[in-house]
Amino acid sequence: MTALGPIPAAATATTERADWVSTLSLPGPERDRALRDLHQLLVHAARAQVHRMGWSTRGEADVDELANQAADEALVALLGKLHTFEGRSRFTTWAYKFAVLHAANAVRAAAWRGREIQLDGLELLPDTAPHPGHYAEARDLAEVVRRLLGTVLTPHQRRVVVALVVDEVPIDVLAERLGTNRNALYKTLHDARVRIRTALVAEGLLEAPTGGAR
Amino acid sequence: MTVHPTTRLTNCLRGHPAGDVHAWRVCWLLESGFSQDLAQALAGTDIDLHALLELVDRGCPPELAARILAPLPAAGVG
Repeated sequence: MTALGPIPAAATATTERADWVSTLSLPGPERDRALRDLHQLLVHAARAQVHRMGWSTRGEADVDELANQAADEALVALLGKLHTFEGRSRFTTWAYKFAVLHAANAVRAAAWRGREIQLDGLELLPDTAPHPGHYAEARDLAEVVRRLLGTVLTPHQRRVVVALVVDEVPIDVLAERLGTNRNALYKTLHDARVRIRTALVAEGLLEAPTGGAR
Repeated sequence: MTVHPTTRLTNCLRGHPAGDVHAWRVCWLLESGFSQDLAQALAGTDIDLHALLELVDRGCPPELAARILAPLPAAGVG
């Protein structure tokens, strides 16, 4: 399958389990076995994803830790959505997606853990372009946007926008550090974009929106 | 070019070890006008800094914003 080795024997043995959903739904030793097998499968899938994202350079111990953490979270998430499984794919394929998603999130979060999130990144706005004409336009626009960031946004809005857009801090990481949720940050980002867009329209640098929307 | 550098913020961030989330939260609070004592106290709690700073953005004094978002005391009302 991959350079990571074959899928664990326990997982393959139960890959063809007739009815995962009912087995996982009914308490008992069979469910416990199914949970162990499923977890093993999720660890394998998560480890593959961690490797795919280049995390293997950190060492096998780190990979194992991340893969197990992602598998734990994936298992909890999967069990919470067990009732939504419609059988349109194999159960193990469906389960694999949980592991891949949670492993990707874990790698992204780990990549940012221990790094400072610089809030002073306005100078990082792109001010170069491949062609002279584009260069001049981009530089002018960047200059205006840079000015608007400092004038039309509130201080907190500006810090959030700089962190998310300029410094490309993952929204989950920023939300965790601020003790908030990503929807709140999306709302702030949306409000900030509306303010900047309105200002750009007012300065004649952007066409006013047309159509039925306000 | 009229850039408004936020040197105060940069200095603040340089003053603590990388990855120190508590210091990072303190920094964000200090930059938003919170006093050192209040920032230290709030950074160690589970309070939603985003909601807190949105209140401050709307003109709410930091102390009042902190009181508004402070967890409610345990219910002991009969």
